[in-house]
Amino acid sequence: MVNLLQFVRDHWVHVLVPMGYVIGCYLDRKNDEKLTAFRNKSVLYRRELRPNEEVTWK
Amino acid sequence: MKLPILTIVMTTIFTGTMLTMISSHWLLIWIGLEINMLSIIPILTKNQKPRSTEAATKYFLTQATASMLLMFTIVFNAMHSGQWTTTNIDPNNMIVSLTMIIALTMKLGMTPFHFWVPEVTQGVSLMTGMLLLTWQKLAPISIMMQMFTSINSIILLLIALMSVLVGGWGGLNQTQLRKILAYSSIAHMGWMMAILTFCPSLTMLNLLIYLMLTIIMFTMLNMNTNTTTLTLSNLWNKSPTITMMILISLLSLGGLPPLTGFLPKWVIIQELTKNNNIAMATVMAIMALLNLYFYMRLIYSTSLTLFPTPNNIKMKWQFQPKKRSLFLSPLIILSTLTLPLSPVFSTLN
Amino acid sequence: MLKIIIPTIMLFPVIWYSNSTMIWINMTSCSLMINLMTLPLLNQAGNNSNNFSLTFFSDSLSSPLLMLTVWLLPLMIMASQHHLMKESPTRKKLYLSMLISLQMFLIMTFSATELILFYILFEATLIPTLIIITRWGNQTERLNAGLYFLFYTLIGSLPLLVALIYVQISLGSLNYLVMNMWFQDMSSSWSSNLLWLACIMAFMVKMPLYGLHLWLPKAHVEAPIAGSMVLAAVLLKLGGYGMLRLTIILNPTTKIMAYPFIMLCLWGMIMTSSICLRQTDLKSLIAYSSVSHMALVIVAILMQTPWSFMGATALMIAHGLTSSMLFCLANSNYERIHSRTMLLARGLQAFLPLMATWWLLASLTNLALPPFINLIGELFVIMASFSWSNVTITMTGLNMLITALYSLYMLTMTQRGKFTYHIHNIKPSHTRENTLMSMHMLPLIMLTFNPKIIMGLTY
Repeated sequence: MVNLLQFVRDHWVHVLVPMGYVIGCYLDRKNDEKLTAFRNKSVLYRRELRPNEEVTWK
Repeated sequence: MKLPILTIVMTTIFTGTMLTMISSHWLLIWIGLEINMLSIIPILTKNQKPRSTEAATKYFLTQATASMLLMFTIVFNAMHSGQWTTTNIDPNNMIVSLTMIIALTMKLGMTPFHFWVPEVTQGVSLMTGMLLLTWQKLAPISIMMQMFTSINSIILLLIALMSVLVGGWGGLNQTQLRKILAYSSIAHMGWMMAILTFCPSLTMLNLLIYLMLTIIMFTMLNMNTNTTTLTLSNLWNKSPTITMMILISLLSLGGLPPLTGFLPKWVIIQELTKNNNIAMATVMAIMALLNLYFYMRLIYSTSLTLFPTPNNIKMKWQFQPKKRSLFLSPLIILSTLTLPLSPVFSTLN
Repeated sequence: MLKIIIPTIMLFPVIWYSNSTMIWINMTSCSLMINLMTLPLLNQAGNNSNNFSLTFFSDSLSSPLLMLTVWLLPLMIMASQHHLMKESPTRKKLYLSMLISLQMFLIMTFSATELILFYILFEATLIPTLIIITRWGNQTERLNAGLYFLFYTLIGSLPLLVALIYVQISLGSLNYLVMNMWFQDMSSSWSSNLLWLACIMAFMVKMPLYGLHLWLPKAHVEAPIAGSMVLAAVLLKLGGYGMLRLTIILNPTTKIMAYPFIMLCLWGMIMTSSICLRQTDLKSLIAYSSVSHMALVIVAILMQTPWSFMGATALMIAHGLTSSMLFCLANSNYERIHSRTMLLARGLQAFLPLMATWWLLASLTNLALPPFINLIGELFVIMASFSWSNVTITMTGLNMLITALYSLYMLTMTQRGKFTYHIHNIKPSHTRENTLMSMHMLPLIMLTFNPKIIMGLTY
C-alpha cells in the first residue's frame, strides 16, 4: 500500500499529458459540433445527413 | 522628507494633473500644469545632492519655458478667436498651432525638445524617475487628446518620427539605466503622437501599456537599486527571478510579438496603413529595432550571460531584496501576456 | 489541433513537478507520447484540409512539418543531456521549458489559418530560440550570433507585417482557407513589386537566401546542440512554409520578380557548397550545407510548378531530418574531442565503429543517395528547373557534384586516416546517442517507402 502511494507520488506527472490529450479532444469535438451547427443553420449548405453518415469536412 | 510634507506635495502633484485633465478652460489647464510643475520640484530635490538640484533646475527651466509658450499661445488664440475653450484652436492659424505643438511636445520631452529628459531622469532617484516618466506625461497627453482635431498633423508626425529615431539612436551609447529608460520613453512618446491625429484611443492604449511597462521596469530596478548595466549584471546572484522578469519585460517594451508590447505597435501600424501612410509605418517599425537593440544589451548583461554554476554560498540572506512590491506580479503579467486579449481592444475604436 | 497543443502545454507542469533525477526520462517519454497523438495527421484524405477550428487547421503541406516539429522535441531532449549534465536542476528545467515553448509556438505557427496569427507566432519562435542560443551556447561569440539572428529576422519581417496589414485592408481577410477563392491578380506596377518584396523577403532571410545568410552559420556554430537541431530542422522550414503559403496571393508578380532571386539561389548554392569544401569547422560546414540545400528549396518555390512544389516540400522534410542528424553527430564528436575543428577529430572510425556507420548513412542522405527521400526532393526540383530553363542543369548538376564532394570530405576527414594522440582515451558512444541517430534515420528510411505523405499540396 505504501509502495503504491509512493509510486503514485513519484509518477503522477505522467497523467498530465494524456489528460491534456483528453481535454484537447473534448474541446476539438465541441468545436466541431459548433461548426456543424453553424453549417446546418446556413441556407446554402443545409442538408439532412443520411443515417450513419459522417460530417464530410472533418 | 517627512510624511506630512510628502503627503501635501504628492496631493498637489495629483491635484495639478487632475485640474489639467478635467478642465476645458485654457487658463485652468495652464494653472494645473504650473501647480504640477512647481510641486514636483521638492520631490526632484529630495536627495539633496548637487546632481539632483541640477536636474530640478533643468526640469524647472524647460517646463517653465513650455508653460510660457503655452500661455502665449492661449492668449494669442484668445485674441484671434475671442474664447478660451480647449477644443477651439484654429488649425489654420500657423502661429497658434505651431507654438502649441512646441509647448506640449516640450512638456512631453519629444525631439527636438528632448534633451532635458535623460539629464533630469539621470539626476534623480529611481522612484522619482518613474514619477517623471509616467505621471508627468499624463497632463500634456490629456491636453493633446482634447485638441487632437485642431493639431497640425504633418508637424506632429514629423516630430513623432524624429522622436522614434532619436529615442532609439540616443540610447545606443548609454550604460546608465535611467538614461536608457528616458530614451525609451522618448521613443514611446513618438509612437503615441504618431497615431494621435488618426485615432486618439490608440494613443490611450499605447500610453496605458507604456505606463505599465515603465512602472514595472523601475520597480524591478529599484528592488536592488540598480542604476547601471554593471550592477545589473550581478543581479542573477541576488534575485534570479527578477532577471527573467527583466528579460520578458524588456522584450515586451521593445515590442517583440507574442508579448503585450507588440499590441500598440501592431494596431498603430494597422491604423497608419489604413490611412495610406505605409511608408511611415514601415520606417517607424524599423526604427523601433534601434530600441530593441539596446534593450538586448541590457538583457544580455542581466540574464543571458550568467555564471556557469549557480550560487551555492549560504550568505545569500544579505542579498535578499527588502523592498517588496505588491502590484509587481499582476503588472508583469498584464504587461507581457495580454496579447491574446487583443480582440478586446478592437472595441476601443 | 488543441489535442496536440494542450498536451504540449501540459509538458510544462510535467517538467516542473518532476523529480530532478527523473527530468530527462519523464520529458522524453511524455514528448514521445505527444508524437503518438500526431500520428492521425498522417492520414490526409484527398485535397481537403483538416479543419480543427477556425484558428487552426492542417493540410498535406503543414502536417509533415508539424510531425517533424513534434518528432524533434524528444530528439533534442535526448541530444542535450550531456550538454546540461553539470547544470543545476532549475536551469535544466528552464532550458527544457524553452524547448517546450518553442515547440508550442511552432505547432501553432504551422497550423494557423490567419496570416497575422502566423506572423505573430513566426516572430514568437524568435524569443525561445534566442534564449537557447545566447544563454546556453558555449563561446562568447554567441552574443553576437544571437543579435545577428534576431535582427536579421526582424528587419526582414517587419515589412511583412506592414504588407500583410495592407493586404488585409485591401482584400478583407487573411485566412488561407478562403484566400485562394477570392484573391485578385496583382497589378503590374512598382508598388505591387514592392509588396511582393515585402512579403517574400522575410522568408528569404529565414530560409536563408544566399547573401542574407550570414546569421545562419554564426547561430549554428554558437548554439547548443538542441538549438542547432531545431534551427536546421524546423526554423528554416518556416521560411519555406511561409513562401509556399504566401505565393497564392502574389500572382502573377512572382513570374517577373523571381528571376534575380532564382539566379542568386543557383549561384549561391554553388558558392556555399564550395565554401563547405574548405571549411575546417564541422558545425559551420553543416550550416553552409543547409544554406545550399535551402537554396534549392527557394528555387523550387519561386518556379511555381506543381512538381517543384512537391520537390520543395519533400526536400524540406528530408533536409530537416538529415541536417539535424549531422548536427547530432557533430555534437557527439564535440563532446569527446571538445573542439569543432575537423582536423582534431580524425580517424574516429577505429574507436567508434557504430558511430562511423551513422556518419556514413548521414553523409549518404546528405548527398541524396537513391533510395532516400532527399533524392526524391532534389530530383523533383532539378527536373522542374531543367524544364524551366535548360541551362540551370549545369548549376544544379555542379551543385550535386560539390555536395557529394564535401560530404565525402566531411566523412573521410572525421572517420578515416590516422587518429591523433589526444583521442586515445575518449568515451565509447552511449546507447542514448545511438538511439538518437537511429531515431533520425528511421523516419528517413520509412518515408522512402511512402514518400506520398511528404509531397505537399500538389501531389
